Amino acid sequence: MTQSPPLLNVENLRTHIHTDRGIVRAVDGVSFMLCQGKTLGIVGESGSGKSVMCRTILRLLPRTAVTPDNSHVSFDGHNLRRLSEKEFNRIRGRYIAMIFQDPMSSLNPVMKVGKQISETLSHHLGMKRKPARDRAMELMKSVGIPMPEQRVNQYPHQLSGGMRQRVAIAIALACNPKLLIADEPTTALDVTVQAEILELLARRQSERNMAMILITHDLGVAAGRTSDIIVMYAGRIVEQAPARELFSNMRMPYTRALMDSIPRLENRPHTTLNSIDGQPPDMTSPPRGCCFAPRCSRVRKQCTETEPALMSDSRKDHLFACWYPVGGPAS
Amino acid sequence: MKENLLSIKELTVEFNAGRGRKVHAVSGVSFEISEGETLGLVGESGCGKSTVARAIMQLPGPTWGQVIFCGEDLTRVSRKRLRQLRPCFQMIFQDSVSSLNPRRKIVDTIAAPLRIIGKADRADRIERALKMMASVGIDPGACDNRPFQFSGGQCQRIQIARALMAEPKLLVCDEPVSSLDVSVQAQIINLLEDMRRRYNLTMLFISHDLAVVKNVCDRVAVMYLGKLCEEAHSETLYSTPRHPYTAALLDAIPKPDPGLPPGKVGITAGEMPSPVDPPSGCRFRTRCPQAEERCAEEEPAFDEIEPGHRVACHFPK
Repeated sequence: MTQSPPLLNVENLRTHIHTDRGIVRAVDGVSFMLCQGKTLGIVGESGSGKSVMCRTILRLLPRTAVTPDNSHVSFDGHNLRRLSEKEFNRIRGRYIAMIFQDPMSSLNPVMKVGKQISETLSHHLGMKRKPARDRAMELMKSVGIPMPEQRVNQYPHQLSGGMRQRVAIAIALACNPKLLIADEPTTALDVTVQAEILELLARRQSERNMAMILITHDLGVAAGRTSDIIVMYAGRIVEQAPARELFSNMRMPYTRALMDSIPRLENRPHTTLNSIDGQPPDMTSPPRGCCFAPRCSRVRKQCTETEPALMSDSRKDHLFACWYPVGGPAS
Repeated sequence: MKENLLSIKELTVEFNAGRGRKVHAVSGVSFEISEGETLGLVGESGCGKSTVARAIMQLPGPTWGQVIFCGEDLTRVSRKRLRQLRPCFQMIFQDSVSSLNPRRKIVDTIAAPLRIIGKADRADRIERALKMMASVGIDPGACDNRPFQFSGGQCQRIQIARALMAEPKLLVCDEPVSSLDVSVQAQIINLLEDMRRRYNLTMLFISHDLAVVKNVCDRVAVMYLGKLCEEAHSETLYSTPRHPYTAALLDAIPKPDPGLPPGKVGITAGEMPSPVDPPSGCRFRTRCPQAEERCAEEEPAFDEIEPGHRVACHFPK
């Protein structure tokens, strides 16, 4: 089987944000590839750099965020770092679309939702008003919004959280993007709505052979919905593997700890959960050695002195950054 | 049999929706919590969970129905008596950041309950606040900081500290962990468990996440559109859910195992009907996969089908 060239190729991506307290190394040397039709899960706590990384790819960060020149992002044969702002505007929203965590603040509160969907269509595809409106209603129907002919004239505040997120998805899918970046699309939603939204995204994705990046802090969400998973901590990738491999054989203590902190249905009432003590490090002055060392239960001397690089052992597609991985040392 | 610390009878909350219409936010909810017990209240957003919590706290009180706390009906007692009783029942809110006064030093926020109930002098209050900070895992050295200098999880700890300062018997937790990351969520759940044991707290724990509730609660009540539809001991409810809505909620939980099929929604897609005009008969019937004619005509009673297990369904599983 020949491997198709990756749709998205990120190499050594760094984002430094200048703040009053110093330079925050929000993303620090991240590399990965994503092929058409695949879903990549990016998992980590708040502040681990997942969102900043995706916004860097889409150039959605303020000027205070600087990406050094040796960072490389290519998408479908284009070098995204080299494109001018005007050229980039033709890709953003058309070929790469994004869904944000909070649908209330990502939608325009004073514009009817139908207009917000058709706006994308007329901007990128040059559709006229009437056909764009009809297409908007079709899109609303396809993402499971009942009675689109009424909803099309409503404002975001008239919709529930789940419906708003569906509108955001309709906007993102309007131009049949090749890559969809979903940044915690269900964190603000109920479990039932969450399951529906994830199901909807998975269905749309397989119909259109679209690639997707699913950002989440919940390994449970990533488990059933992704083909590959990247675990991020303190701006770096600390573990990367195909989903099944990762869940059956977690190597990085951080991934294990994240997994253990999920409350399980099997637990009896008043079970003490295995939480991870402490907080992620301050990224203006990250600790020496492994960033996770101060919170790690397996920490040893070497961890606080030298930073581990991503390494693999018998399985070449399973990378982890740890000197003393779970389940025995790396070969 | 332990005595009931809190018992709620036919709690009903209605809001005026203009033009003579009413929002039936909570309709005839009854349950009891015995001393030292934790009751989970579960349901989707908009089902009235938080309204129940607020009605118990008298913030504001219910339209009608009784809230009997330690033998006294909170809806009937005088304002003066209510003020005297308030230290005994405290609440933790969902959005920890916005429930803290952004301009106040956190030590003053935590000490405020003592000032309001008129216990202890200032020096003593501060000392107790600092002790409480340490016990909820906030560095007392940060006592002069303001809420924006803390993360969401830390703000939740501050809120817990504030609620516990008055030494309550009953703690009402309204979605205390739903806006937090899994790792921080685990920390806060453990902290609440710790505090529950240390202060012998009785808790009403509101959440939409059944997995969280299972780890915390002795008994669970499931709510849909202003009414309870199932109530049982945790183990019973999770192993043998009898109401189709409970079963659907359980199926929707994402399972952290890629070998298993991802969470599916077993109920008809769409939203909860409007509480302004709730469906006739069983309120869940519009989304129920097994609804029949009888469900539209007759409202199912909330009856015990086995000891300690109540279900409101004509055709329980």
